[in-house]
Amino acid sequence: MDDLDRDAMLETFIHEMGILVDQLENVMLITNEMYDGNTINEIFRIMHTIKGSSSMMLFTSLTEITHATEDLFFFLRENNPENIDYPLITDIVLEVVDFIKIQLASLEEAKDLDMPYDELMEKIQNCLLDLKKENKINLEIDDNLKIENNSEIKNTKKINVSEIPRYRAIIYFQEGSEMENVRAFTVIHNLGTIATDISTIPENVLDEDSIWKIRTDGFKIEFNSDHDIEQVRNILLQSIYIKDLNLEQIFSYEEEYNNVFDVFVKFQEGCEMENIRAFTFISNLPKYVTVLSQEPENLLDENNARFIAENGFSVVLSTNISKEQLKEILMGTIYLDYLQINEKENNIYEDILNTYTEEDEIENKEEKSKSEDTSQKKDINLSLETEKIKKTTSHSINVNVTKLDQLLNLVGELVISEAMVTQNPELEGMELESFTKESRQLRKIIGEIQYTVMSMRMVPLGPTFFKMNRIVRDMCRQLKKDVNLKIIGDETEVDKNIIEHIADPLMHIIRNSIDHGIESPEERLSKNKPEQGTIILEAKNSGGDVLIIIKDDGAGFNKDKILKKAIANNLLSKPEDEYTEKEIFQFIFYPGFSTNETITSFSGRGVGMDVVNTNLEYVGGTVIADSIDGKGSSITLKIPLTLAIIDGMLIKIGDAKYTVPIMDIRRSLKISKKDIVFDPNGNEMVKIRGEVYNLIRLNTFFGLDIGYTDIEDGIVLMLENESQTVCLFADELVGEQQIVVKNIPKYIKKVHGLSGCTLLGNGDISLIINVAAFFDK
Amino acid sequence: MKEENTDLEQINEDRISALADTIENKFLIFKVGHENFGIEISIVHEIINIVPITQVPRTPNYLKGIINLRGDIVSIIDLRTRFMMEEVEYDDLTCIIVVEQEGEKIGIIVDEVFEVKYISKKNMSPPPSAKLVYSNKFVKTLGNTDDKVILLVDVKDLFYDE
Repeated sequence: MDDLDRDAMLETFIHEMGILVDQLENVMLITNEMYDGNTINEIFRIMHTIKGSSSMMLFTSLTEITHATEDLFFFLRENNPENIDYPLITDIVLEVVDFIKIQLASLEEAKDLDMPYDELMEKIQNCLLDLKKENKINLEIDDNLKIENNSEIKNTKKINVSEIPRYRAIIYFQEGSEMENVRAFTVIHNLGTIATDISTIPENVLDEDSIWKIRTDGFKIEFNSDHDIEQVRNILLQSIYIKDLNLEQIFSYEEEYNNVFDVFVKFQEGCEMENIRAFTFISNLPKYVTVLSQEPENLLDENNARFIAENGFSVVLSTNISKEQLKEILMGTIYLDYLQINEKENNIYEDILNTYTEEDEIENKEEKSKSEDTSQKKDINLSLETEKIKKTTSHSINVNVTKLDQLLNLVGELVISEAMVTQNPELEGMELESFTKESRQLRKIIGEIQYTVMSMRMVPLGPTFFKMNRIVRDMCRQLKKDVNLKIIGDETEVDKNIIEHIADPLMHIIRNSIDHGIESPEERLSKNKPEQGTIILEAKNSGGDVLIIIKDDGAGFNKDKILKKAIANNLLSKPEDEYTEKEIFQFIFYPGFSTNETITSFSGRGVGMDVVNTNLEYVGGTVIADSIDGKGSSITLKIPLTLAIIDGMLIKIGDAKYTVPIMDIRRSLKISKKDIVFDPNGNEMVKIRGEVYNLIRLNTFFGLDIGYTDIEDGIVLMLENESQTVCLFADELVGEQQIVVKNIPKYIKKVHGLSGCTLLGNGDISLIINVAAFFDK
Repeated sequence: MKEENTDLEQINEDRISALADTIENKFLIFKVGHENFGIEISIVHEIINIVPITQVPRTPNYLKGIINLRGDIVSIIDLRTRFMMEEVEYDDLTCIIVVEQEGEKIGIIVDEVFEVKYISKKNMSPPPSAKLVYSNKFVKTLGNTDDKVILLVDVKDLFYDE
């Protein structure tokens, strides 16, 4: 395989493994220390897929680790042991997950996979051993024998276990070793006394033609032997020049396949490299499923990729398991679009024959047609089933985010140019009936494109939320606390760019909650609280924003401690007693602020909450802390749905046009001079309906010598956030407009009070006012 | 012997520039006040006529604001204010030279743009040490051409305060 191929495959591999590992992690965390059959099956399936793909990519470490884990779950599944140390197994699987993640990360950086894994391997194996010991089930480590045992218990009717195990080995010789036929013969010779009933492919080993066959397809040998698999392996490996040995035990039931299935598979459009996927599909099949034939034959031929993409991939399998079981296994295939499993015709034919015997001929015909009916029905049922599969697997393709960003930018440009054309100053005063009509249509279409592009970028918060499960679990085990994380509204969607900035803040807040908030179980009991603490992670839509609320039922923030620390750090900007509770809690978001006397491995450095604040500021969000002493605390993150396109209100100051995001404006009104009051410091305030608000004159705020000074000439905008309201004085309102937010060039350092700029219909630039600047921190 | 060498070098240099049409050592000559300045042509993106500029509050006074250059937002600085010269009204000759600096486009308002000139290394010299005008601070090299002395500036100095 040349490098290019491998690169493409590696990329897909990393991507797919990433998805699988995340899935696995979630499964482990959701089941929370108790596995039912379904979970075990799912874990088993994921492990199996990872193992298959890794071995295809020749990543031994991954293959071995996942194989060992698979063994563990195989044991759980087959024996249903009663004494299981669930937390231990979860720990181990999570460790495996971490291991795989690290390996994937180093793959991504094109590093070698040289992380040692003996320790982990040993852990898994010991765990399996302990399990077996505790449940008094045969101590034989060899997993193959285990299968046999299980089969004996479960499938006694079907399987006659032969007393002497039969093995199948596929041997590849090193390139350039020459005379492969002779070497193969040596292998047979070496087996000599221990093996009986030997059959080989190619049959006549010493034939000159066999050289080529062995060189390309390997040397296949089957034999009976009463030695166990390791002994056999050692004997086989005595032969020189062996490059690769694939040894497995064949179970007698393999030869008595009860069921033969026709399986037809189609992969999702655009999943690429269909031939490789088909190959993975085959190599991922469990031991007890044997491939009888497949179409197309040579999967590694690239030309077949298109064939499979267009016509699908069909394979005849024989196995002892039922159709449902087979289906379940096959459904685990990634990028599966369409799966059809038909029992092979001869079985149906047999059924028909059976019905014949008891009926006479005329009825036979009817019966035949009936059975044809039923078989047709069967087909329909099957096709219904496949329909279902079709529905459950979504038609999605992976798109590079940069392409989406580019598309969004282009749509932004489109919105602007549309405005430039339809609001072109040259059109002013003209009677344009049809033009107006058509441009309205254009506006509508562009609006829909914009909406679609935006929705393409929307991602549910779920995966980010579920990652928190892991943090909660890890911390609980280390701090010996018991916390239940409840997730609400994980289907809430936000823009991809924003989600990237949410994960870290969430992590820090939850860490803080567990470390400082939630008390130890004993303390909780003494406070008349349930032993288990609860953290609720909730997301919901609220207007143009998404609110993420993290609530815990712990001790709450210590107001006095925070205030004391704030005074010590010189953070106060007004007299101490003027601070409201909420304002005091806000101090926890200051950089380097920590009330912890000791630094633990989780918190105390005062960095975490600062990260929350900076990240939130970056995406234009806000964060509010609240707490009830002894009852718990809550932190609310308010984040905008999207960064790029917002509804804006255009206002004028002199001849400069500024934009205020509409969602921040509560209302606008004219006020008269008599409503203006001044506080002792000379700050201007305005009285509206009996309430007094701070008045900010935009021209003085920005140091401009333009705009009205007489309050009665201009207009006042009331802006509000969660807790405060301020009034803004401007000359006039120009109108509402959808605006595409553009950054102010980096060269101009961040200007307080501005969040960006936008292009207006006539090509002019309007600066966007950052409303948050007017509110007290 | 030595002189011959430098002559040869000069000839070579001239020839290379003529033949390969390289942009090295080529400068865009413009006027601010009474002086002629030059900046390296390689960083010049384009030259446009003066357009209305959107003022950005709370910025240094030489930073005139931002303009919309075919969808790109470009910051604009005025060299007259930067050099602490008297401000004049923009006229038909006033131009904005758009240069690309560290991936970002920045416009420079100048009184007039003349031509692109090749100035060989040999004709460059450091300025006299006497610093009479504020604009001297930005001039690190003088370029001698047939008729005039060109003050060569490094745009980085123009954009960033030390």
